[in-house]
Amino acid sequence: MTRRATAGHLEEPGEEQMTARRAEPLGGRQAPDTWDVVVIGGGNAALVSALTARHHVANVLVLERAPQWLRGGNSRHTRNVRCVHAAADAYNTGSYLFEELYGDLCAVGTGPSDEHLAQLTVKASESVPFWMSDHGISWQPPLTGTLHLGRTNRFFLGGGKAMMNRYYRTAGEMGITIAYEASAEEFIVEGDRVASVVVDVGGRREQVRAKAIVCAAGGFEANIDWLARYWGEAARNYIIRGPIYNDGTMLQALYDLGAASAGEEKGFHSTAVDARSPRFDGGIATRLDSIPFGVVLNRFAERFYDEGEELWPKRYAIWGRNIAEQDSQIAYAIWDSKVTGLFLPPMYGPIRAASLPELAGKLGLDAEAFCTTLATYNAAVVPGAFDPTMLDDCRTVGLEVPKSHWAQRIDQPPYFGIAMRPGITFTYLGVKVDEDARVRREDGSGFENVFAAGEIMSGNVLSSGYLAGFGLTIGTVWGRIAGSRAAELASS
Amino acid sequence: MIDDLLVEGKRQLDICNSCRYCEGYCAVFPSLERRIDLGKADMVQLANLCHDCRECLYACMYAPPHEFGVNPPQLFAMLRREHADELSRFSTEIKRHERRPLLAGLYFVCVSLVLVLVLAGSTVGLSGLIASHRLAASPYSVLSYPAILAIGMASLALGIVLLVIEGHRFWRASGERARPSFVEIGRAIRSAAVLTNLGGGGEGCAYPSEEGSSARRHAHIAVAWGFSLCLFATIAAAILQDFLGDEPPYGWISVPVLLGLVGGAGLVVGSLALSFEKSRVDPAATDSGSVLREYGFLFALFLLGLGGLVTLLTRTTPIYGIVLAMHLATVFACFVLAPFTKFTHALYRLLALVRDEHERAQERVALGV
Repeated sequence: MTRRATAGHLEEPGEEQMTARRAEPLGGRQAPDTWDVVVIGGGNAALVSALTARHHVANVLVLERAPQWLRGGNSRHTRNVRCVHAAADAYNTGSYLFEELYGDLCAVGTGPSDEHLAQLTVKASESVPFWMSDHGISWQPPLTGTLHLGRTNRFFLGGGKAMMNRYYRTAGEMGITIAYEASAEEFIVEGDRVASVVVDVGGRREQVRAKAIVCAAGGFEANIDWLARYWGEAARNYIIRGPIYNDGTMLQALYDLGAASAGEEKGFHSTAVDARSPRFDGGIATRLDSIPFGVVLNRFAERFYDEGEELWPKRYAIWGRNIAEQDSQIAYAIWDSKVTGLFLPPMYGPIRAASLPELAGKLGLDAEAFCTTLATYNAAVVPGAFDPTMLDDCRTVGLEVPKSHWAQRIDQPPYFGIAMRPGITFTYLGVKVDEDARVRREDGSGFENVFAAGEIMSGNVLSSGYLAGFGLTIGTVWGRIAGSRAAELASS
Repeated sequence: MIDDLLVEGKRQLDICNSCRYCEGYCAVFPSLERRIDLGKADMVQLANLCHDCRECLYACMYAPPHEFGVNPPQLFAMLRREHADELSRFSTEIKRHERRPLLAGLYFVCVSLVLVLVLAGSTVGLSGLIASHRLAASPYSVLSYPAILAIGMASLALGIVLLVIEGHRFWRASGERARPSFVEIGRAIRSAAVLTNLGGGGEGCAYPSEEGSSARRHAHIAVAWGFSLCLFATIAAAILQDFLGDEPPYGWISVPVLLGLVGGAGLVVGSLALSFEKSRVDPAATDSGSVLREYGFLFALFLLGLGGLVTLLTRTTPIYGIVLAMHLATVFACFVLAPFTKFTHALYRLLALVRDEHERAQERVALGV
């Protein structure tokens, strides 16, 4: 991506672009010459910023790259949001205060990238459910099979796509202009500001002028080549849980303008998914929750990580990385019939066998190594009181790779196994922002009229590891901040 | 055909079971999650528990054109239709009529009309058909009370017997032997009466398309209650006549007439409203194979309601006799045809609700709640 203009001079559009401009522009004939706020992206953070901005300014345009049926990006696959709340209510079974949420955030991975911004996010989370309700979102009790997320997380009715449907409907009622299959490609700078966005609408390129721009275009997880820069050829074995659109086009465009980066190159939210998943957009259905209840082996039939380290909602997101670091990016979850029903059933069904050697054979693992690993594990299991809802005392003793909780002997046929690969949800490496969601440059200054919200700036808060439901918290909190600051700028 | 549906249904519902986001919309998803296997009985139960609110289709990130192709509303509608046809197999004679339902309906109404006219002629005389209004404007001036009773009871009895057989078949086909308690049955009836499962967890019904409205729920209540009120009107008349010695015709301010007026109006307005909504329905969520029989059923309900209202309004006119004969013919034909039409959805859905309440109660017991 190259900068289209030098200071004070705007490159003249070519013949094709002139013709295109004479056709119906984005937003129809009543579209303004210059939009107050243009939001790049069509997911949660994007819609939240558009809705927020629309409360203050008249002309808001949302540029969603996907066709209407795929609108919303990763947000389609979400199901709950994690917010500070003072008391129990119809949808949360207890309170969850700032100290605890912030403590949970610090305990995953290596802690937040920018403590100040992380604390700001947690603090602002308290008003998020009210804002969401005000903009059309309904709630439902916690889903069955989601181990005690009921106290900390709030589930919206129907999940992420239903939530996005409501936001889009509210946006339509409020007079926000939505453009589908509108792919923002690059920025055009005039002096110190970004004056317009070049948008590809079904092959036709159009310049959209804006007073303020909010980039909520997601991470770069769908860009395997970009992932390979940091992960090498291992990235070719990753499965991308969301749709193909998050390829980092806008992120790169911002970097090309001198935006500073935030977050770690190898930072991402990733969990174990079924190896049989489609390469893109498998979403929630292909992820696996069996890990805490059995053991996980690599392709050499060795255990490599403590399957019972912590409660699943606090650990599921590091298993993607764990499997990514294993040979061939593949691992196998093994469990027995004792634990059937304790976790959501795998979508494609598990591999089933009457004996351990048979299971090894079906999974393509060396039977001798497999049985040795299982025997060693079983021998090290110390009996205790098994309780999947808390950190129980079922553990192993004397193993190099322990299992700290929920350790039971795997000895009751039939036996089950599933091959797993890393499923990447979203990448953390993004653009640096300040308290106003304004994008910062490498030289320390800020872009006057460019803001960011959602996954594209999640690296400001998340370094590694993930807390279930927190992605939407980041998107909603920063979407509101970006939307109001952008609107303020546009009206001044 | 039904076997293909079962295989495809299991494929889709396995995906639903590993996602579960739609849990808050209706009773179907909690019911799905209670199951370990998805055999034919489970699928039949789920399909009939579904009230076709369609919220789940619009909430689903895997709905077509996604490669997972999850579409429960359409799947369940197809399954309901195929299975209902299985349950209504009473003889090879009936099978011949299945292929041309409109003709079959017309055929039955005509047969019924002929019977009515024959009875009218032989009991009161055909002059009653054209001159009854000058007499007492009572139905018995057209055909005698025993005649109405005989043909009415016969057709009603036949209809009821067939429905009971179908209901029994459905119960056996939708799960294990079970003895639901009166409380559980009561809860199911209440759920049916207020159409809880068309509430969408508070979102309402995504019908005829995603935006949704409460029109369908209200129109359905109008039809269902309208139908019931008409039944009550007939029963009220029977009580007045046989126990209180008060013979028809009944005045405008009488229980049978008022119930019949409100009931008939409900049937007419409700069936028209439902037909209108249906004409705008989103085809993505619809089973095209069911559409004809659904319009047919709505038309029959419309005719029943309209016939009754017109009969009431023409009591003092020369056409009363003919109108009454046609209305009676329609009613008796409908009694006999009901087990072969979409009328059965009320029965199957109610039984599915009963089984669901029973399963919930058993689950509470098992969890010690």
